[in-house]
Amino acid sequence: MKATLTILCIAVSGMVCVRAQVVTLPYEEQFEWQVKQIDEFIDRFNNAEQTPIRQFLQKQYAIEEINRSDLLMTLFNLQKNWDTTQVRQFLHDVIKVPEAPQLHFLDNDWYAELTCSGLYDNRYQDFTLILTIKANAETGASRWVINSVSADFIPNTDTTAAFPLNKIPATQGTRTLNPASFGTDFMGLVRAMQDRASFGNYINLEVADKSVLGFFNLLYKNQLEFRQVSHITYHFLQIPGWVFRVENFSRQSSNSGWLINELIQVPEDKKPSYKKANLFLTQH
Amino acid sequence: MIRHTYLRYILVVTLLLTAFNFLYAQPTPKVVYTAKEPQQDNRQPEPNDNAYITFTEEQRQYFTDKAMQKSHDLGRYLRLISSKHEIEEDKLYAIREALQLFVSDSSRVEVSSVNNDLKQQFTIREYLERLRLLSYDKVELVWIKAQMVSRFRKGEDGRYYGIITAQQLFRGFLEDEVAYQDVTEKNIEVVLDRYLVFDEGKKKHRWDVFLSDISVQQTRIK
Repeated sequence: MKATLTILCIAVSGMVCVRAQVVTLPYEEQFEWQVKQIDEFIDRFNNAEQTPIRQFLQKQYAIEEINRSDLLMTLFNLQKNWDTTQVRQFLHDVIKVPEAPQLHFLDNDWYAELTCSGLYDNRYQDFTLILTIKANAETGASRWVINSVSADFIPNTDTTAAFPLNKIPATQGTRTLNPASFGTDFMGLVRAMQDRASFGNYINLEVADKSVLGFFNLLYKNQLEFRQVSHITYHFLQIPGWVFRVENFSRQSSNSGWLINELIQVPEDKKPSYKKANLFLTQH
Repeated sequence: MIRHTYLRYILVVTLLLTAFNFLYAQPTPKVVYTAKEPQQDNRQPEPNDNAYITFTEEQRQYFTDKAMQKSHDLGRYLRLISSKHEIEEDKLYAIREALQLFVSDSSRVEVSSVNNDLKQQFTIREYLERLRLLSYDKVELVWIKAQMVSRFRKGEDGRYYGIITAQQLFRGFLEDEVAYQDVTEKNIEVVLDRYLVFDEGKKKHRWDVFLSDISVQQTRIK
């Protein structure tokens, strides 16, 4: 019990105080606490059985039972000033309801917002891509697809694709963004945006609009060169009444990795407006 | 008399063998990581050309262990390639062996720094060559910790994809002084792929794990 309190106090001290204390730990221990990947974030959010953090706490501190509420608090960026009333309400809604909501990797309603840069008209330009994971119910496979694009320089008038629109499965030499692309911060996009024969595989054709076509048409005509993904924010809309955003905090601390940095109360009927304003999704 | 002579002979031979072993025996090889292999019959899933395969927990663990073993092997090769004390022939051999760990030569390494926003991508071969040509007198590359964080998930091409995250300490020395050091985090994409073998005259599909793209994030100066 003492061990439980000690470990959780280290992890959640920032929630008690207005200003969180950054804890510097030896590399190995910090590695265990760090939320290293977004699917690890999802598993911790759900307090799933086989997460590395549970195995670490069991092995290192003989902690067998981990309270979901305590674990959820460690998923917040503790260096930010939070409205503790709002956070408590969120925790209550996630934990205390009869059917505690969980996140699933193949859910439709979470998005990766990628801030990217490329070369257009001999100048570096920033633009935003919104991606989701798309599951293939027939084969059990999945891939990441681009839902929408936002940038000032991208034409919003294109109605036809200059490139071939492929069909999945991609077994004839065309490629997709594999489901683990998030693990390398979508570095595969650099290669994908040069893979003109496979452009159709990277688009969510169910929701893509003129800006997506405009973006890919520029790439296809070599008028735009994709250079890198600079920043990633994940938007989670699955929890009823809430939206939270997750970003990566690379620092020497037990509170590091992929953490909740924004928590917003959004009624379900307002979520389409959120998607339109923040994720540039006009169809949903 | 004869028995005493015989016993003395045995004693002398034993002592000589012990001394020989003490002087010339190879040190016990350091086992970095060993994949625990499941029962021979259960190691490979049933062939299914329609591509949706469900791995048993034992099979998943086997391939996870194999992926970890290959990432540790990569760490060893990186140390060897970057070491000034190794001869060129051994470094070139290590590069060839390291490339065998990857699903293809077109696998890429993306390097980013905390000091600037620019990311650079190299093919794995380019990355290893750059490592070989580092100008430090001595390099220390220590694998702090590695973990298979993301389980295998099926891609549309029938392969399965997972992620290993590893932290590595890098120190470069010039004239015995530390000239540069940092801690880098490596996210290694691992691919579970099928290949065709002929076993007793029959074509069979077998699965193996390979490394793929790697993102390298410099996290902090130690």
